[in-house]
Amino acid sequence: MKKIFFFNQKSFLDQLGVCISKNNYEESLQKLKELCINSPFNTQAFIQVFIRAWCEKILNMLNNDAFENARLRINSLYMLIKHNSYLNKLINIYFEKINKKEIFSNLKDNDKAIYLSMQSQYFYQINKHDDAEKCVQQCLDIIIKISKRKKNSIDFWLLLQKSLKNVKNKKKSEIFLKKILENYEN
Amino acid sequence: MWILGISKSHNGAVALTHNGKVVCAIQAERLSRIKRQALDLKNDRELLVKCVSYCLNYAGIRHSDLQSIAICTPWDVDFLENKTLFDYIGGAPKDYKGTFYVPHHYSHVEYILHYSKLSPGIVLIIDGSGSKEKDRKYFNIKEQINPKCISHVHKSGKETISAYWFDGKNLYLIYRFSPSINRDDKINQNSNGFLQSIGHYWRWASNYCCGSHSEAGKVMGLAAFGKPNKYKSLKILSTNKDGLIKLNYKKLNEKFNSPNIFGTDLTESEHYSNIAAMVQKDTEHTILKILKILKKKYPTDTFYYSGGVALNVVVNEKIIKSNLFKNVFLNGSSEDNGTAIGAALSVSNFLTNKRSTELVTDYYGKTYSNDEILSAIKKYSFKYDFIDEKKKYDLVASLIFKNKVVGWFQGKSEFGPRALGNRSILANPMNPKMKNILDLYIKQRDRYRPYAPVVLEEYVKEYFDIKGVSPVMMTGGTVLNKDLPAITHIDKSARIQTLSEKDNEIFYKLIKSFEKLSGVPIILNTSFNLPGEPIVESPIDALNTFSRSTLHYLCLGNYLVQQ
Repeated sequence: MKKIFFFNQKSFLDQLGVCISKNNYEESLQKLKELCINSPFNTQAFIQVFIRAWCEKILNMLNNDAFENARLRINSLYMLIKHNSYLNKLINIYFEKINKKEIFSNLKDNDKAIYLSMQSQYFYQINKHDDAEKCVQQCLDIIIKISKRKKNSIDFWLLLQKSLKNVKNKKKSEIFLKKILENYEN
Repeated sequence: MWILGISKSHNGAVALTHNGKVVCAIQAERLSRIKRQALDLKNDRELLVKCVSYCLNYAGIRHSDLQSIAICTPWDVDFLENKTLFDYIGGAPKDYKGTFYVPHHYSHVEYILHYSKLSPGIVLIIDGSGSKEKDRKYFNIKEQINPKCISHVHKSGKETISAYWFDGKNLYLIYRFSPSINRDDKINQNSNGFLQSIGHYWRWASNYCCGSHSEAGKVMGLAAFGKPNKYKSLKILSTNKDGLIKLNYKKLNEKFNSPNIFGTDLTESEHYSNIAAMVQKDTEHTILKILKILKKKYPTDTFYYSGGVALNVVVNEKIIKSNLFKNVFLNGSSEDNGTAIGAALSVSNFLTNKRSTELVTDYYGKTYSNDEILSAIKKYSFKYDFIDEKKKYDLVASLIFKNKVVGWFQGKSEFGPRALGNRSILANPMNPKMKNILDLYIKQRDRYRPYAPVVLEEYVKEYFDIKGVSPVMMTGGTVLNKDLPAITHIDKSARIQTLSEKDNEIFYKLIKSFEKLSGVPIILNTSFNLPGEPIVESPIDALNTFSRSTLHYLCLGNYLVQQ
């Protein structure tokens, strides 16, 4: 990426919008980075633009029944963003929309872990805490299984942090934590 | 003489001094509950009134007792009429000596000198940026300039480094680096808004590595994982023999073009840790070089250091261990919040021609009584017990020893960025799993960030390679004991708080009790807050945070609360 002397922020924001509208995730990330490098004091504002635009795009996918595309994009955002209210709302909409659709069983282990972590968040947000715990339990089991096989398959740390937050019962979350610590090596 | 100090800044604060002593100080963030809360006098009236009331109520005085208001800012100076200012403090003072506008770096200086023995020495201030050169004519606290001052001052400049000679009574500016802030100037054409400033170099690194300007502490933690010489040949930060600094943003932007804008965990990333290590190394090298230049011209054994960059404990350790000076003075609130105190002390000194000193501390906030605490607890449905003062220490120490993580809320709140044992989360430093427990379950931190130890002062040399003491957690050292995994960073270092009974009797007793059980006079001490939040101030704040956290216990005064 080359530094542009006269940086045209508006033009780059437009290009970012085009990338997102074309569902071009990698290129949109690249555009976002260029924006942030050239106008670093606006980094947080650009990030919000990026997330909002992707959330709108994914919502559009869901409205058009493009569930697999939507899942892929939500996964990417979920593993990138620690906390964002738009994304949280979108996750709720996603799980409402895909209700009873057979998605989980067709996923690979990495994607299953992310799916379960997101689903635990969904259940937590709608106050179905028992269901959220079950999802976290399953998510941890998969993470432990994967970590024994391939250490760097997914970003375990972020997923563990995110999942543990969705366990309302603190005694249970501690049991989960112990399980993780028994299996997790730094 | 009562003087109110205000730091109008991105890290706003209000302080109250009486006859040259600090009585009370509060950061705006602690009351607004928004981390790094700015305080803009024109737009934040309600918050300013809250901060002022906090200080006046603490001292048991009224607005009419105030005799002066001191204002310090790194932003544009804007004058306020007395009518407006008096509105903020609740009314007109009886015997008002005036409103004073104090240069930013000068406020930092007066604050650090307050903890000195008034020995002659060099005072160095380094931060992101301070007062604008164009505003100097407005200040009614004036700096004295040594005729031989090393001056790298641009007419459109903003101070980023200042050094003063303190002769035991008066201060004289001996060095200033005040680079242009004009974006059209050649030096700024490739900087994307960052200044020629060591503080801004860290802001750049913070933005690049963590996606936010205010995460210099994270970058410092990350630096320990990197290879400092990996990018040495780039010579990003250089200093000539006259102390003129050049920061090459053009090269930075050409070489580094993949910012971690979402702040994802960088524990295993060589790219970012090498950058962090480069910034750390460059900073150490540059500051030591400036000090050598200054010491050659002003031989002395005494050195005072403050400003935001002084929060870098690794640099501080290097300065102390460089043996350039026998006596190094550091204060805890070296960021902009401290300038509220410094501005008030500057005015006190100006009006009375007398400079007072105290032992270094940051316990400048309010103490909440057991009655206030109980009234707050009753608003929640937690199980709680009153614990006798005599039993409190052994009980809490035993919980920590049993690997419970405890919120600890006692005595006066701390003013600066460090939790020094009055608004802290405490844990067992010997438990090898404790860091993961805190990172994953309680603080939700990235793995590359270390946790700090607090050690009883009399034992510090047994456990750490540190020169002197560190009562406000402003220096680091190597951990000498292998049984402290939770507080030992990847490079075996730790940011250390040393504690004497005189510093904090309550906290001292707790650690003493822990030592009886564990044989180790050290506890892991991290700030009492959750991610993105400021440190708790009041019992309600503590209980709110506790309710949302996975902490096991919370000890507020003499009450022990359980989840």
